[in-house]
Amino acid sequence: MKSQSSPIIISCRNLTKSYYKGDTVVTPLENLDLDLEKGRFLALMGPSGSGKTTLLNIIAGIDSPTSGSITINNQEISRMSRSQLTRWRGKSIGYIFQLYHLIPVLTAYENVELPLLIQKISRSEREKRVLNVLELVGLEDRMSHFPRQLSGGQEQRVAIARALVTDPMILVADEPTGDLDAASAQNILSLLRQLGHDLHKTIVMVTHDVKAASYADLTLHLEKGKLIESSPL
Amino acid sequence: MLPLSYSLRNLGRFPWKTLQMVLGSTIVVFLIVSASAFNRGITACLSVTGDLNNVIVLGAGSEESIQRSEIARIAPDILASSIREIRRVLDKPAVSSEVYYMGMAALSDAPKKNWPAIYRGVTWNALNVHRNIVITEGRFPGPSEVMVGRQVARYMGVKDSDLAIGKSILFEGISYSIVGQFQGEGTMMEAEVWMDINDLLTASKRETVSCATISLSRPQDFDAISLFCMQRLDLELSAIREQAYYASLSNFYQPIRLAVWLTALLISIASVFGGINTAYAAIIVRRREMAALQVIGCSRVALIFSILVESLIINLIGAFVSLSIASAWLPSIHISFSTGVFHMIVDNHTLILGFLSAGIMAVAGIIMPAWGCLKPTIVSSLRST
Repeated sequence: MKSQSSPIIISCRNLTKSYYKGDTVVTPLENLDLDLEKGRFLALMGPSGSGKTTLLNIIAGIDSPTSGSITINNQEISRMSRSQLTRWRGKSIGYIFQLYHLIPVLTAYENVELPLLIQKISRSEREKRVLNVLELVGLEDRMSHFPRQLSGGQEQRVAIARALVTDPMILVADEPTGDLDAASAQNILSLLRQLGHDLHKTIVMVTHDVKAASYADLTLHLEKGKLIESSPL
Repeated sequence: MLPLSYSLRNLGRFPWKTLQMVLGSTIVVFLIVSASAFNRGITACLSVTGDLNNVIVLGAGSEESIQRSEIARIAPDILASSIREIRRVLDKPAVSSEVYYMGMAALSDAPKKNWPAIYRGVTWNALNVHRNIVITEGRFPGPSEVMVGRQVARYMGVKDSDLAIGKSILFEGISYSIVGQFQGEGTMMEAEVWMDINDLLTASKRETVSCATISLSRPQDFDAISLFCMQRLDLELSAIREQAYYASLSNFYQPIRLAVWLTALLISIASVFGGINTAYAAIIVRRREMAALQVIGCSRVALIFSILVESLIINLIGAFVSLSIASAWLPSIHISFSTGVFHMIVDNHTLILGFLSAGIMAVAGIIMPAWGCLKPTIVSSLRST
């Protein structure tokens, strides 16, 4: 996963995650090493329980490793406190959920604007950025619609716009097409690949779908918490 | 921080639960405000009764109750002629010889039915001593006549028209014409029937009077009366400032006030727990949404603040509704107790207490639901159903 042209943006060393489930110790990740260059589109694949979502969550800073280290853009996030991680996530990560997780009481525009409000960006700057990303995802004509008034594909586009609006270093997507029909899924994946390419974003996507993984630059296969195969395209 | 529109619109997400919480808050605030209005009413009634310049001379050993007190009929005259510090009105000493009697009264229209009534047997001098008593209609009563305070009808539980001038009341089988009505600035005397002292002595078969109420020129002249009472052991007198007497009466009602507060608080606490359940149900369903908000960079403090804003809006609406009802309704409620009638008071103090209670409920009501929602890790919250 290294090339000589781009710097490493995600670096995991001996990454282990374990937790108790009743009396049993579950280890979704075990001594995992990973380096990912800036601007790459990585697909994480593997069976259920292989640790791919755990790895994604650790990269996104919403979960922490039991041991090992994870460095993102030369910042070791595994040592950050919960509040430091929250601030860091707001600026550095754009998260795209399988079930979109849009705020139902806010319009598409307001949903996209929300991360900027949290970061106390000025009103004019917010407006400029929100309109820009809504245009990028092709939803400028749906900005005053509430999530319930949008289709699944449109909701996911709003979620992508929300993830992009803070101009994060990394976009992480957890099964972004898992809840969509085939046509919508194809549109979303094309959009992700195009955005990654045009905006030079690093994208990490978890998927079960081989077809979805084919949109990525490279695919990692995990099994029982270990990296078993990588397949660059 | 999250925008205010987020908090406002969230109130409309589960309208039935929001309405339940507003109603719960309305009831709790109303209970607390009612308890406060009750206590302020009874306290105000007892505290305004009593002139700073007035002294009540009672029978020794009966300082706590005019009802039980007995002094010789001649004692007020002796006091009037012996103490120079007594205020003089038209060159006559302001000493009121009085008989206080709690009995029954019947109306001339319904002679067989009896209602409780408080009688005060007085002379003309009573008006020189009780300076807050104003005859609003009619005149001071002579023999076989009475005048009634403006709260007598409420104390007895009859209509105001039953005690209009020209009507009569029956006391111990004798009919007394109502010839006057008076008011007394919210004092307990407004619940009394005033009549000629000799009539009351006869009707109550008493040979002694209850007390002598004396108006002094200066409040500090109380010592002169006190000294006189100590010197004239033969008269068996005891002097007490009128305000101190009613203050001690106020202390007598302290357990009732506490009981009212306790009842209101216990019901309120039970209601707050009910409110917590409703709030929990309304907030816990947003657990995944809150986790998602944390993922996009929203801090837990900002989320708690947002939930608190929702809770404050709900409780302030409840407070506003209950305080509007309380302001319009409670002051019209008159409550009679053994020695008088008071009305419930809704003043600035009560309003502040109402809003303060709403604020406390807003905070207390969301601590547990917010904790339950935000304590778990983001990952487990995102996975929750």
